[in-house]
Amino acid sequence: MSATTLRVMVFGERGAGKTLYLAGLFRGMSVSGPGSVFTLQTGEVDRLKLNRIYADAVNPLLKNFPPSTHWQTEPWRFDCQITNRHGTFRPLSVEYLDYSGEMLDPLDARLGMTDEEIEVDPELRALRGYRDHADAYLLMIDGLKLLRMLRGAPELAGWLEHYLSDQLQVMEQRLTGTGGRPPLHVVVSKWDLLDGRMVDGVPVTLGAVAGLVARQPTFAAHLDGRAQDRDAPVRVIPVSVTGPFAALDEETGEIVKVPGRPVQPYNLDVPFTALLPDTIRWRREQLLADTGPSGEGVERKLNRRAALLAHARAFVGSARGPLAERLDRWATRRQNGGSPAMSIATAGLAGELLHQLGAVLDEQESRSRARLREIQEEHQRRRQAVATESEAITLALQGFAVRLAEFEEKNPGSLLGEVLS
Amino acid sequence: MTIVATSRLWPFVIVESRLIVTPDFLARRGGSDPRIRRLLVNAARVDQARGTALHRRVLTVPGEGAYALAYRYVPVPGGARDEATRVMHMAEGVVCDDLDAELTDETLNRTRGYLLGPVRRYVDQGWSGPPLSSRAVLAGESVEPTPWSLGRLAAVVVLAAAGLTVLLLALKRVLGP
Repeated sequence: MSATTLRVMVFGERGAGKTLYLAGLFRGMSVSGPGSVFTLQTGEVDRLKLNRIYADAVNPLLKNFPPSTHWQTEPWRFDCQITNRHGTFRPLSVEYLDYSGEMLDPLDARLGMTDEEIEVDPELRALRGYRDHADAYLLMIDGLKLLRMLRGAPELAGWLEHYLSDQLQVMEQRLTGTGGRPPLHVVVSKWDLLDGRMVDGVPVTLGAVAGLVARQPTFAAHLDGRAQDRDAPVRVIPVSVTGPFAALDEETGEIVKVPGRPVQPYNLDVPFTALLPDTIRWRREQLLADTGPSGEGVERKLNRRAALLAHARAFVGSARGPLAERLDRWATRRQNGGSPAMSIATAGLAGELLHQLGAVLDEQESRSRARLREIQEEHQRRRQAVATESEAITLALQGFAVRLAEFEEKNPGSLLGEVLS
Repeated sequence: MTIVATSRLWPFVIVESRLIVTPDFLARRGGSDPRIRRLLVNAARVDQARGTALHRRVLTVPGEGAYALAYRYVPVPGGARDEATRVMHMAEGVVCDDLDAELTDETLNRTRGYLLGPVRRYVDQGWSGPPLSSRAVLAGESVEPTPWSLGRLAAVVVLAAAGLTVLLLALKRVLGP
Protein backbone atom coordinates (compact mmCIF):
# COMPACT_ATOMS: atom_id res chain seq x y z
CA MET A 1 0.00 0.00 0.00
CA SER A 2 1.32 3.46 -0.87
CA ALA A 3 1.38 6.49 1.40
CA THR A 4 -0.57 8.66 -1.02
CA THR A 5 -4.13 7.84 -1.90
CA LEU A 6 -6.32 9.85 -4.23
CA ARG A 7 -10.04 9.29 -3.77
CA VAL A 8 -12.12 9.61 -6.88
CA MET A 9 -15.85 10.13 -6.72
CA VAL A 10 -17.45 8.62 -9.79
CA PHE A 11 -20.75 10.25 -10.71
CA GLY A 12 -22.83 8.09 -13.01
CA GLU A 13 -26.47 7.26 -13.46
CA ARG A 14 -27.75 3.71 -13.50
CA GLY A 15 -26.44 2.01 -16.60
CA ALA A 16 -23.78 4.61 -17.38
CA GLY A 17 -21.11 1.93 -17.07
CA LYS A 18 -19.31 2.67 -13.79
CA THR A 19 -18.59 -0.90 -12.75
CA LEU A 20 -17.57 -2.06 -16.18
CA TYR A 21 -15.35 0.97 -16.65
CA LEU A 22 -13.49 0.23 -13.41
CA ALA A 23 -13.17 -3.44 -14.32
CA GLY A 24 -11.84 -2.46 -17.76
CA LEU A 25 -9.46 0.11 -16.30
CA PHE A 26 -7.96 -2.45 -13.96
CA ARG A 27 -7.77 -5.09 -16.67
CA GLY A 28 -5.99 -2.77 -19.07
CA MET A 29 -3.50 -1.32 -16.63
CA SER A 30 -2.70 -4.37 -14.53
CA VAL A 31 -0.40 -5.82 -17.17
CA SER A 32 2.69 -4.08 -18.51
CA GLY A 33 2.46 -2.85 -22.08
CA PRO A 34 4.70 -0.94 -24.44
CA GLY A 35 5.49 2.41 -22.86
CA SER A 36 3.82 1.65 -19.55
CA VAL A 37 5.78 2.75 -16.54
CA PHE A 38 3.83 0.96 -13.83
CA THR A 39 1.05 -1.56 -13.39
CA LEU A 40 -2.07 -1.42 -11.26
CA GLN A 41 -2.41 -3.88 -8.41
CA THR A 42 -5.24 -4.59 -6.02
CA GLY A 43 -6.15 -7.12 -3.35
CA GLU A 44 -6.52 -10.72 -4.44
CA VAL A 45 -10.29 -10.97 -3.95
CA ASP A 46 -10.93 -7.65 -5.70
CA ARG A 47 -8.65 -8.72 -8.53
CA LEU A 48 -10.67 -11.89 -9.03
CA LYS A 49 -13.96 -10.02 -8.85
CA LEU A 50 -12.95 -7.35 -11.34
CA ASN A 51 -11.53 -9.93 -13.71
CA ARG A 52 -14.76 -11.91 -13.56
CA ILE A 53 -16.92 -8.87 -14.30
CA TYR A 54 -14.71 -7.95 -17.25
CA ALA A 55 -14.51 -11.52 -18.53
CA ASP A 56 -18.30 -11.87 -18.46
CA ALA A 57 -18.68 -8.61 -20.37
CA VAL A 58 -16.39 -9.67 -23.21
CA ASN A 59 -17.33 -13.35 -23.27
CA PRO A 60 -19.06 -13.98 -26.62
CA LEU A 61 -20.63 -17.15 -25.24
CA LEU A 62 -22.58 -15.18 -22.66
CA LYS A 63 -25.38 -13.37 -24.41
CA ASN A 64 -25.87 -10.60 -21.90
CA PHE A 65 -23.70 -7.93 -20.33
CA PRO A 66 -23.30 -7.97 -16.54
CA PRO A 67 -26.37 -6.80 -14.62
CA SER A 68 -26.81 -3.57 -12.72
CA THR A 69 -25.12 -3.09 -9.37
CA HIS A 70 -27.33 -3.73 -6.36
CA TRP A 71 -28.00 -1.00 -3.76
CA GLN A 72 -24.54 -0.82 -2.20
CA THR A 73 -21.26 1.08 -2.18
CA GLU A 74 -18.00 -0.63 -2.97
CA PRO A 75 -14.59 1.07 -3.00
CA TRP A 76 -12.05 -0.33 -5.45
CA ARG A 77 -8.48 0.55 -4.59
CA PHE A 78 -5.68 0.35 -7.13
CA ASP A 79 -1.98 0.69 -6.31
CA CYS A 80 0.45 1.95 -8.93
CA GLN A 81 3.36 -0.43 -8.74
CA ILE A 82 6.84 -0.32 -10.18
CA THR A 83 8.93 -3.43 -9.72
CA ASN A 84 12.57 -3.76 -10.69
CA ARG A 85 15.80 -5.18 -9.35
CA HIS A 86 15.80 -2.62 -6.52
CA GLY A 87 12.45 -3.73 -5.20
CA THR A 88 8.76 -2.90 -5.45
CA PHE A 89 7.58 0.71 -5.23
CA ARG A 90 4.02 1.89 -4.82
CA PRO A 91 4.15 5.65 -5.09
CA LEU A 92 0.43 6.20 -5.49
CA SER A 93 -2.93 4.57 -4.84
CA VAL A 94 -6.23 5.58 -6.32
CA GLU A 95 -9.56 4.61 -4.84
CA TYR A 96 -12.84 4.72 -6.73
CA LEU A 97 -16.25 4.33 -5.20
CA ASP A 98 -18.57 2.11 -7.15
CA TYR A 99 -22.27 2.02 -6.35
CA SER A 100 -25.70 1.58 -7.77
CA GLY A 101 -26.54 4.53 -10.02
CA GLU A 102 -30.02 5.08 -8.58
CA MET A 103 -28.35 6.12 -5.33
CA LEU A 104 -27.64 9.47 -6.95
CA ASP A 105 -31.36 10.17 -6.98
CA PRO A 106 -32.96 8.40 -4.02
CA LEU A 107 -36.13 10.47 -4.44
CA ASP A 108 -36.84 8.66 -7.71
CA ALA A 109 -40.38 7.35 -7.42
CA ARG A 110 -39.27 3.92 -8.58
CA LEU A 111 -37.39 3.46 -5.32
CA GLY A 112 -40.31 4.49 -3.16
CA MET A 113 -38.06 5.81 -0.38
CA THR A 114 -39.35 8.16 2.28
CA ASP A 115 -37.39 11.17 3.52
CA GLU A 116 -36.62 9.32 6.75
CA GLU A 117 -35.29 6.32 4.87
CA ILE A 118 -33.05 8.51 2.74
CA GLU A 119 -31.71 10.12 5.89
CA VAL A 120 -30.82 6.89 7.68
CA ASP A 121 -29.78 4.61 4.83
CA PRO A 122 -26.18 3.58 5.58
CA GLU A 123 -25.19 3.14 1.94
CA LEU A 124 -26.39 6.64 1.07
CA ARG A 125 -24.44 7.96 4.03
CA ALA A 126 -21.33 6.19 2.80
CA LEU A 127 -21.84 7.69 -0.63
CA ARG A 128 -22.24 11.21 0.78
CA GLY A 129 -19.17 10.81 2.98
CA TYR A 130 -17.05 9.65 0.09
CA ARG A 131 -18.38 12.32 -2.22
CA ASP A 132 -17.63 15.10 0.25
CA HIS A 133 -14.02 14.05 0.72
CA ALA A 134 -13.07 13.17 -2.83
CA ASP A 135 -9.82 14.45 -4.33
CA ALA A 136 -11.16 14.35 -7.88
CA TYR A 137 -14.43 13.84 -9.71
CA LEU A 138 -15.16 11.53 -12.59
CA LEU A 139 -18.48 12.48 -14.13
CA MET A 140 -19.71 9.73 -16.40
CA ILE A 141 -22.10 10.47 -19.25
CA ASP A 142 -23.90 7.45 -20.64
CA GLY A 143 -22.99 7.30 -24.33
CA LEU A 144 -26.16 5.42 -25.26
CA LYS A 145 -28.37 7.96 -23.54
CA LEU A 146 -26.46 10.78 -25.19
CA LEU A 147 -26.96 9.21 -28.60
CA ARG A 148 -30.68 8.87 -27.95
CA MET A 149 -30.83 12.47 -26.85
CA LEU A 150 -28.99 13.65 -29.95
CA ARG A 151 -31.46 11.71 -32.04
CA GLY A 152 -34.28 13.61 -30.40
CA ALA A 153 -35.78 11.05 -28.02
CA PRO A 154 -38.55 13.10 -26.39
CA GLU A 155 -38.06 11.56 -22.94
CA LEU A 156 -34.46 12.79 -22.97
CA ALA A 157 -35.14 16.39 -23.90
CA GLY A 158 -33.22 18.47 -21.39
CA TRP A 159 -31.70 15.38 -19.79
CA LEU A 160 -28.05 16.43 -20.19
CA GLU A 161 -28.51 19.84 -18.59
CA HIS A 162 -30.58 18.34 -15.80
CA TYR A 163 -28.10 15.55 -15.12
CA LEU A 164 -25.05 17.81 -15.20
CA SER A 165 -26.77 20.40 -13.00
CA ASP A 166 -27.57 17.80 -10.34
CA GLN A 167 -23.98 16.62 -10.11
CA LEU A 168 -22.44 20.09 -10.33
CA GLN A 169 -24.70 21.23 -7.51
CA VAL A 170 -23.13 18.56 -5.32
CA MET A 171 -19.64 19.68 -6.31
CA GLU A 172 -20.44 23.31 -5.61
CA GLN A 173 -21.88 22.44 -2.17
CA ARG A 174 -18.61 20.81 -1.32
CA LEU A 175 -16.76 23.91 -2.52
CA THR A 176 -17.76 25.87 0.55
CA GLY A 177 -15.88 23.48 2.80
CA THR A 178 -12.61 23.32 0.95
CA GLY A 179 -12.22 26.49 -1.03
CA GLY A 180 -11.62 24.92 -4.39
CA ARG A 181 -12.93 22.75 -7.16
CA PRO A 182 -10.95 19.53 -7.60
CA PRO A 183 -10.13 18.11 -11.03
CA LEU A 184 -13.16 17.04 -13.01
CA HIS A 185 -13.03 14.48 -15.76
CA VAL A 186 -16.15 14.16 -17.85
CA VAL A 187 -16.03 10.63 -19.19
CA VAL A 188 -18.32 9.73 -22.08
CA SER A 189 -18.88 5.98 -21.87
CA LYS A 190 -19.78 3.61 -24.72
CA TRP A 191 -17.97 5.95 -27.10
CA ASP A 192 -17.94 3.34 -29.87
CA LEU A 193 -21.73 3.83 -30.16
CA LEU A 194 -21.25 7.54 -30.79
CA ASP A 195 -17.97 8.00 -32.58
CA GLY A 196 -18.54 9.08 -36.16
CA ARG A 197 -22.22 8.16 -36.12
CA MET A 198 -24.28 10.48 -38.31
CA VAL A 199 -26.90 12.50 -36.47
CA ASP A 200 -28.85 15.00 -38.55
CA GLY A 201 -26.32 14.53 -41.34
CA VAL A 202 -23.36 15.43 -39.12
CA PRO A 203 -20.87 12.94 -37.65
CA VAL A 204 -20.54 12.84 -33.87
CA THR A 205 -17.05 13.87 -32.79
CA LEU A 206 -15.40 14.50 -29.45
CA GLY A 207 -15.22 18.20 -30.27
CA ALA A 208 -18.96 18.28 -30.88
CA VAL A 209 -19.74 16.43 -27.65
CA ALA A 210 -17.32 18.56 -25.61
CA GLY A 211 -18.92 21.67 -27.10
CA LEU A 212 -22.37 20.39 -26.27
CA VAL A 213 -21.38 19.74 -22.67
CA ALA A 214 -19.71 23.13 -22.35
CA ARG A 215 -22.79 24.89 -23.73
CA GLN A 216 -25.18 23.48 -21.14
CA PRO A 217 -26.03 26.58 -19.10
CA THR A 218 -25.11 25.21 -15.67
CA PHE A 219 -21.95 23.63 -16.94
CA ALA A 220 -20.92 26.81 -18.72
CA ALA A 221 -21.33 28.73 -15.45
CA HIS A 222 -19.31 26.08 -13.64
CA LEU A 223 -16.50 26.38 -16.17
CA ASP A 224 -16.48 30.14 -15.71
CA GLY A 225 -16.26 29.69 -11.95
CA ARG A 226 -13.34 27.32 -12.33
CA ALA A 227 -11.49 29.70 -14.62
CA GLN A 228 -12.14 32.65 -12.33
CA ASP A 229 -10.97 30.85 -9.20
CA ARG A 230 -8.03 29.17 -10.94
CA ASP A 231 -9.42 25.76 -10.10
CA ALA A 232 -8.50 22.48 -11.70
CA PRO A 233 -9.28 22.00 -15.38
CA VAL A 234 -12.11 19.98 -16.85
CA ARG A 235 -11.35 17.28 -19.35
CA VAL A 236 -13.78 15.49 -21.63
CA ILE A 237 -12.60 11.96 -22.27
CA PRO A 238 -14.35 9.46 -24.54
CA VAL A 239 -13.94 5.85 -23.39
CA SER A 240 -15.10 2.42 -24.39
CA VAL A 241 -14.55 -0.82 -22.52
CA THR A 242 -15.34 -3.17 -25.36
CA GLY A 243 -14.88 -1.20 -28.58
CA PRO A 244 -16.51 -2.76 -31.65
CA PHE A 245 -17.38 -5.95 -29.74
CA ALA A 246 -20.51 -4.17 -28.49
CA ALA A 247 -22.93 -2.57 -30.90
CA LEU A 248 -26.32 -0.95 -30.93
CA ASP A 249 -29.05 -3.09 -32.43
CA GLU A 250 -31.06 -0.41 -34.21
CA GLU A 251 -34.17 -2.58 -34.39
CA THR A 252 -34.45 -3.38 -30.69
CA GLY A 253 -32.51 -0.40 -29.35
CA GLU A 254 -30.43 -2.78 -27.24
CA ILE A 255 -26.67 -2.98 -26.88
CA VAL A 256 -25.62 -6.42 -28.04
CA LYS A 257 -22.41 -8.39 -28.22
CA VAL A 258 -21.12 -9.07 -31.70
CA PRO A 259 -19.08 -12.29 -31.59
CA GLY A 260 -16.25 -12.18 -34.06
CA ARG A 261 -15.63 -8.49 -33.64
CA PRO A 262 -12.55 -7.55 -31.62
CA VAL A 263 -12.57 -6.29 -28.05
CA GLN A 264 -10.66 -3.01 -28.27
CA PRO A 265 -10.79 -0.88 -25.10
CA TYR A 266 -10.41 2.80 -25.81
CA ASN A 267 -8.84 5.48 -23.58
CA LEU A 268 -9.70 3.69 -20.34
CA ASP A 269 -6.38 4.76 -18.85
CA VAL A 270 -6.68 8.45 -19.69
CA PRO A 271 -8.86 9.57 -16.76
CA PHE A 272 -6.52 7.71 -14.42
CA THR A 273 -3.47 9.20 -16.07
CA ALA A 274 -4.80 12.74 -15.72
CA LEU A 275 -5.57 12.42 -12.01
CA LEU A 276 -2.25 13.12 -10.39
CA PRO A 277 -1.00 15.80 -12.81
CA ASP A 278 -4.29 17.69 -12.57
CA THR A 279 -4.35 17.36 -8.77
CA ILE A 280 -0.79 18.61 -8.38
CA ARG A 281 -1.33 21.59 -10.65
CA TRP A 282 -4.55 22.42 -8.89
CA ARG A 283 -2.94 22.24 -5.44
CA ARG A 284 -0.11 24.44 -6.67
CA GLU A 285 -2.59 27.05 -7.84
CA GLN A 286 -4.57 26.76 -4.63
CA LEU A 287 -1.48 27.24 -2.56
CA LEU A 288 -0.50 30.37 -4.41
CA ALA A 289 -4.03 31.67 -4.14
CA ASP A 290 -4.12 30.88 -0.40
CA THR A 291 -0.92 32.70 0.39
CA GLY A 292 -1.57 35.97 -1.42
CA PRO A 293 -2.77 37.75 -4.50
CA SER A 294 0.60 37.85 -6.24
CA GLY A 295 1.81 34.39 -7.09
CA GLU A 296 5.26 35.50 -8.15
CA GLY A 297 5.73 37.64 -5.07
CA VAL A 298 4.77 34.78 -2.85
CA GLU A 299 7.17 32.51 -4.65
CA ARG A 300 10.04 34.94 -4.11
CA LYS A 301 9.11 35.28 -0.48
CA LEU A 302 9.07 31.55 -0.01
CA ASN A 303 12.29 31.09 -1.88
CA ARG A 304 14.07 33.27 0.65
CA ARG A 305 13.36 30.79 3.36
CA ALA A 306 16.51 28.85 2.78
CA ALA A 307 16.13 26.45 5.65
CA LEU A 308 12.71 25.40 4.58
CA LEU A 309 13.83 24.96 1.01
CA ALA A 310 16.72 22.81 2.10
CA HIS A 311 14.27 20.66 3.97
CA ALA A 312 12.01 20.49 0.96
CA ARG A 313 14.83 19.47 -1.34
CA ALA A 314 15.95 16.88 1.14
CA PHE A 315 12.62 15.17 1.28
CA VAL A 316 12.09 15.31 -2.46
CA GLY A 317 15.28 13.32 -2.88
CA SER A 318 15.18 11.12 0.18
CA ALA A 319 15.13 7.37 -0.09
CA ARG A 320 12.04 6.98 2.11
CA GLY A 321 9.94 9.10 -0.18
CA PRO A 322 8.19 11.48 2.22
CA LEU A 323 6.83 13.26 -0.84
CA ALA A 324 3.98 10.84 -0.74
CA GLU A 325 3.38 11.55 2.91
CA ARG A 326 3.28 15.27 2.20
CA LEU A 327 0.66 14.79 -0.48
CA ASP A 328 -1.31 12.61 1.84
CA ARG A 329 -1.17 15.23 4.58
CA TRP A 330 -2.56 17.83 2.20
CA ALA A 331 -5.35 15.47 1.28
CA THR A 332 -6.08 14.80 4.95
CA ARG A 333 -6.03 18.48 5.80
CA ARG A 334 -8.45 19.18 3.00
CA GLN A 335 -10.71 16.41 4.22
CA ASN A 336 -10.71 18.10 7.60
CA GLY A 337 -12.15 21.25 6.15
CA GLY A 338 -9.57 23.15 4.18
CA SER A 339 -6.41 24.93 5.11
CA PRO A 340 -7.07 28.56 6.02
CA ALA A 341 -4.61 28.39 8.88
CA MET A 342 -1.84 26.74 6.94
CA SER A 343 1.40 27.97 8.37
CA ILE A 344 3.90 29.80 6.23
CA ALA A 345 6.40 27.07 6.96
CA THR A 346 4.16 24.35 5.63
CA ALA A 347 3.17 26.54 2.73
CA GLY A 348 6.82 27.00 1.95
CA LEU A 349 7.50 23.32 1.82
CA ALA A 350 4.38 22.56 -0.12
CA GLY A 351 4.96 25.44 -2.51
CA GLU A 352 8.47 24.37 -3.33
CA LEU A 353 7.43 20.79 -3.80
CA LEU A 354 4.48 21.59 -6.00
CA HIS A 355 6.58 23.90 -8.13
CA GLN A 356 9.15 21.21 -8.62
CA LEU A 357 6.52 18.67 -9.59
CA GLY A 358 4.69 21.18 -11.76
CA ALA A 359 7.91 22.00 -13.55
CA VAL A 360 8.51 18.31 -14.15
CA LEU A 361 5.08 18.03 -15.73
CA ASP A 362 5.37 21.13 -17.88
CA GLU A 363 8.77 20.22 -19.17
CA GLN A 364 7.79 16.64 -19.85
CA GLU A 365 4.66 17.57 -21.77
CA SER A 366 6.47 19.89 -24.12
CA ARG A 367 9.23 17.37 -24.69
CA SER A 368 6.89 14.50 -25.20
CA ARG A 369 5.02 16.06 -28.06
CA ALA A 370 8.20 15.92 -30.07
CA ARG A 371 9.66 12.60 -29.06
CA LEU A 372 6.93 10.34 -27.75
CA ARG A 373 8.38 6.99 -28.64
CA GLU A 374 11.86 7.95 -27.62
CA ILE A 375 10.61 9.08 -24.25
CA GLN A 376 8.65 5.89 -23.73
CA GLU A 377 11.79 3.89 -24.33
CA GLU A 378 13.66 6.15 -22.00
CA HIS A 379 11.00 5.57 -19.36
CA GLN A 380 11.38 1.85 -19.71
CA ARG A 381 15.10 2.20 -19.08
CA ARG A 382 14.50 4.51 -16.14
CA ARG A 383 11.93 2.15 -14.74
CA GLN A 384 14.69 -0.34 -14.21
CA ALA A 385 16.75 2.26 -12.39
CA VAL A 386 14.11 3.45 -9.91
CA ALA A 387 15.53 2.98 -6.44
CA THR A 388 13.39 5.20 -4.21
CA GLU A 389 9.75 6.06 -3.69
CA SER A 390 10.45 9.62 -4.83
CA GLU A 391 12.01 8.44 -8.06
CA ALA A 392 9.04 6.19 -8.57
CA ILE A 393 6.51 9.01 -8.28
CA THR A 394 8.58 11.28 -10.50
CA LEU A 395 8.77 8.59 -13.15
CA ALA A 396 5.05 7.88 -12.81
CA LEU A 397 4.34 11.58 -13.30
CA GLN A 398 6.48 11.68 -16.39
CA GLY A 399 4.68 8.64 -17.73
CA PHE A 400 1.31 10.28 -17.05
CA ALA A 401 2.44 13.44 -18.80
CA VAL A 402 3.50 11.55 -21.90
CA ARG A 403 0.21 9.69 -22.15
CA LEU A 404 -1.77 12.87 -21.58
CA ALA A 405 0.18 14.73 -24.22
CA GLU A 406 -0.47 11.92 -26.65
CA PHE A 407 -4.19 11.98 -25.86
CA GLU A 408 -4.44 15.76 -26.11
CA GLU A 409 -2.66 15.78 -29.42
CA LYS A 410 -5.22 13.40 -30.85
CA ASN A 411 -8.14 15.12 -29.11
CA PRO A 412 -7.51 18.86 -29.13
CA GLY A 413 -11.04 19.67 -27.94
CA SER A 414 -10.82 17.61 -24.79
CA LEU A 415 -9.83 20.39 -22.40
CA LEU A 416 -12.59 22.75 -21.34
CA GLY A 417 -12.16 26.16 -19.79
CA GLU A 418 -8.84 27.70 -18.95
CA VAL A 419 -5.92 25.39 -18.49
CA LEU A 420 -3.63 25.82 -15.55
CA SER A 421 -0.04 26.25 -16.54
CA MET B 1 -26.78 -29.74 8.44
CA THR B 2 -30.27 -29.82 7.01
CA ILE B 3 -33.30 -27.65 7.36
CA VAL B 4 -35.80 -28.83 9.95
CA ALA B 5 -39.47 -28.90 9.02
CA THR B 6 -40.40 -26.42 11.73
CA SER B 7 -37.95 -23.71 10.61
CA ARG B 8 -39.83 -20.67 9.44
CA LEU B 9 -39.08 -19.05 6.10
CA TRP B 10 -40.16 -15.65 4.87
CA PRO B 11 -39.73 -14.99 1.13
CA PHE B 12 -38.58 -11.58 -0.05
CA VAL B 13 -37.65 -9.97 -3.33
CA ILE B 14 -35.87 -6.75 -4.33
CA VAL B 15 -36.00 -5.50 -7.93
CA GLU B 16 -33.84 -2.60 -9.05
CA SER B 17 -33.12 -1.71 -5.42
CA ARG B 18 -36.84 -1.59 -4.58
CA LEU B 19 -38.18 -3.88 -1.93
CA ILE B 20 -41.26 -5.54 -3.40
CA VAL B 21 -41.97 -8.31 -0.89
CA THR B 22 -40.70 -8.27 2.70
CA PRO B 23 -41.22 -10.54 5.72
CA ASP B 24 -44.29 -9.54 7.68
CA PHE B 25 -42.40 -9.10 10.95
CA LEU B 26 -40.03 -6.64 9.28
CA ALA B 27 -42.95 -4.78 7.75
CA ARG B 28 -44.58 -4.49 11.19
CA ARG B 29 -41.41 -3.36 12.92
CA GLY B 30 -40.52 -1.07 10.05
CA GLY B 31 -43.76 0.85 10.36
CA SER B 32 -42.19 3.15 12.91
CA ASP B 33 -38.51 2.63 12.20
CA PRO B 34 -37.01 3.61 8.84
CA ARG B 35 -33.81 1.75 9.70
CA ILE B 36 -35.71 -1.51 9.88
CA ARG B 37 -37.39 -0.72 6.57
CA ARG B 38 -33.97 -0.40 4.93
CA LEU B 39 -32.49 -3.40 6.70
CA LEU B 40 -33.11 -6.02 4.06
CA VAL B 41 -32.10 -3.89 1.06
CA ASN B 42 -28.85 -3.00 2.82
CA ALA B 43 -28.14 -6.52 4.01
CA ALA B 44 -28.69 -8.22 0.66
CA ARG B 45 -25.43 -7.03 -0.88
CA VAL B 46 -24.71 -8.64 -4.22
CA ASP B 47 -21.35 -9.87 -5.33
CA GLN B 48 -21.71 -9.66 -9.10
CA ALA B 49 -18.70 -11.84 -9.70
CA ARG B 50 -20.57 -14.76 -8.15
CA GLY B 51 -23.21 -14.70 -10.85
CA THR B 52 -26.46 -16.36 -9.83
CA ALA B 53 -24.88 -18.36 -6.99
CA LEU B 54 -26.53 -18.24 -3.59
CA HIS B 55 -25.43 -15.54 -1.16
CA ARG B 56 -25.72 -16.37 2.53
CA ARG B 57 -25.54 -13.85 5.35
CA VAL B 58 -26.78 -13.26 8.86
CA LEU B 59 -29.45 -10.61 9.21
CA THR B 60 -29.43 -8.95 12.61
CA VAL B 61 -32.73 -7.31 13.42
CA PRO B 62 -32.39 -4.85 16.31
CA GLY B 63 -34.52 -5.97 19.23
CA GLU B 64 -35.30 -9.32 17.59
CA GLY B 65 -32.09 -11.20 17.05
CA ALA B 66 -30.31 -12.91 14.21
CA TYR B 67 -31.83 -14.56 11.18
CA ALA B 68 -30.33 -16.53 8.34
CA LEU B 69 -30.51 -14.81 4.98
CA ALA B 70 -30.14 -16.60 1.65
CA TYR B 71 -30.68 -14.97 -1.72
CA ARG B 72 -29.54 -14.93 -5.32
CA TYR B 73 -29.29 -12.24 -7.98
CA VAL B 74 -31.08 -13.61 -11.00
CA PRO B 75 -32.79 -12.29 -14.14
CA VAL B 76 -36.37 -11.20 -13.74
CA PRO B 77 -38.64 -13.77 -15.45
CA GLY B 78 -39.86 -12.58 -18.83
CA GLY B 79 -36.58 -11.01 -19.95
CA ALA B 80 -37.40 -7.40 -19.01
CA ARG B 81 -34.58 -4.91 -19.57
CA ASP B 82 -33.58 -1.72 -17.84
CA GLU B 83 -33.00 1.66 -19.51
CA ALA B 84 -29.39 0.70 -20.27
CA THR B 85 -30.81 -2.35 -22.09
CA ARG B 86 -29.34 -4.76 -19.55
CA VAL B 87 -31.38 -7.74 -18.43
CA MET B 88 -33.22 -6.66 -15.30
CA HIS B 89 -32.23 -8.62 -12.20
CA MET B 90 -33.82 -9.27 -8.83
CA ALA B 91 -32.51 -10.35 -5.46
CA GLU B 92 -34.88 -13.12 -4.44
CA GLY B 93 -34.46 -15.01 -1.23
CA VAL B 94 -35.67 -16.06 2.17
CA VAL B 95 -35.20 -14.96 5.73
CA CYS B 96 -35.08 -17.95 8.09
CA ASP B 97 -35.37 -18.06 11.88
CA ASP B 98 -33.02 -21.05 12.09
CA LEU B 99 -29.42 -19.88 11.78
CA ASP B 100 -28.22 -23.43 11.25
CA ALA B 101 -30.65 -24.20 8.48
CA GLU B 102 -29.13 -25.32 5.22
CA LEU B 103 -30.72 -22.93 2.78
CA THR B 104 -30.20 -23.94 -0.83
CA ASP B 105 -31.39 -23.04 -4.30
CA GLU B 106 -34.05 -25.67 -3.78
CA THR B 107 -35.36 -23.74 -0.77
CA LEU B 108 -35.61 -20.62 -2.91
CA ASN B 109 -37.23 -22.51 -5.77
CA ARG B 110 -40.02 -23.56 -3.40
CA THR B 111 -40.82 -20.01 -2.35
CA ARG B 112 -40.40 -18.50 -5.80
CA GLY B 113 -44.01 -18.91 -6.81
CA TYR B 114 -44.97 -16.50 -4.07
CA LEU B 115 -42.79 -13.76 -5.53
CA LEU B 116 -43.41 -13.94 -9.26
CA GLY B 117 -46.78 -12.19 -9.26
CA PRO B 118 -45.53 -9.06 -7.46
CA VAL B 119 -42.38 -8.99 -9.59
CA ARG B 120 -44.46 -9.18 -12.75
CA ARG B 121 -46.62 -6.36 -11.46
CA TYR B 122 -43.58 -4.20 -10.72
CA VAL B 123 -42.13 -4.78 -14.17
CA ASP B 124 -45.39 -4.22 -16.02
CA GLN B 125 -46.97 -1.42 -14.05
CA GLY B 126 -44.40 -0.07 -11.62
CA TRP B 127 -44.99 -0.12 -7.90
CA SER B 128 -46.45 2.40 -5.55
CA GLY B 129 -46.98 2.11 -1.85
CA PRO B 130 -45.24 -0.12 0.65
CA PRO B 131 -43.92 -3.60 -0.11
CA LEU B 132 -46.16 -6.62 0.24
CA SER B 133 -45.76 -8.63 3.44
CA SER B 134 -44.91 -12.29 3.20
CA ARG B 135 -46.10 -14.58 5.97
CA ALA B 136 -43.91 -17.25 7.44
CA VAL B 137 -44.07 -20.69 5.95
CA LEU B 138 -42.72 -23.79 7.58
CA ALA B 139 -39.82 -25.39 5.82
CA GLY B 140 -41.84 -28.57 5.48
CA GLU B 141 -44.93 -26.81 4.14
CA SER B 142 -45.75 -26.15 0.50
CA VAL B 143 -45.89 -22.50 -0.52
CA GLU B 144 -48.95 -21.07 -2.16
CA PRO B 145 -48.44 -18.67 -5.01
CA THR B 146 -49.49 -15.08 -4.51
CA PRO B 147 -53.26 -14.60 -4.48
CA TRP B 148 -54.53 -13.55 -7.86
CA SER B 149 -54.80 -9.91 -8.62
CA LEU B 150 -58.22 -8.43 -9.43
CA GLY B 151 -57.21 -7.91 -13.05
CA ARG B 152 -56.14 -11.47 -13.47
CA LEU B 153 -59.30 -12.70 -11.75
CA ALA B 154 -61.47 -10.54 -14.01
CA ALA B 155 -59.70 -11.86 -17.09
CA VAL B 156 -60.34 -15.42 -16.01
CA VAL B 157 -64.03 -14.67 -15.32
CA VAL B 158 -64.43 -13.07 -18.76
CA LEU B 159 -62.69 -15.98 -20.44
CA ALA B 160 -64.83 -18.47 -18.53
CA ALA B 161 -68.01 -16.61 -19.48
CA ALA B 162 -66.97 -16.51 -23.11
CA GLY B 163 -66.20 -20.23 -23.07
CA LEU B 164 -69.53 -21.02 -21.48
CA THR B 165 -71.37 -18.94 -24.09
CA VAL B 166 -69.60 -20.76 -26.92
CA LEU B 167 -70.45 -24.08 -25.31
CA LEU B 168 -74.13 -23.17 -24.93
CA LEU B 169 -74.34 -22.00 -28.53
CA ALA B 170 -72.73 -25.22 -29.70
CA LEU B 171 -75.13 -27.28 -27.62
CA LYS B 172 -78.08 -25.33 -28.98
CA ARG B 173 -76.94 -26.00 -32.55
CA VAL B 174 -76.44 -29.71 -31.86
CA LEU B 175 -79.77 -30.17 -30.10
CA GLY B 176 -81.65 -28.16 -32.68
CA PRO B 177 -84.55 -25.76 -32.21
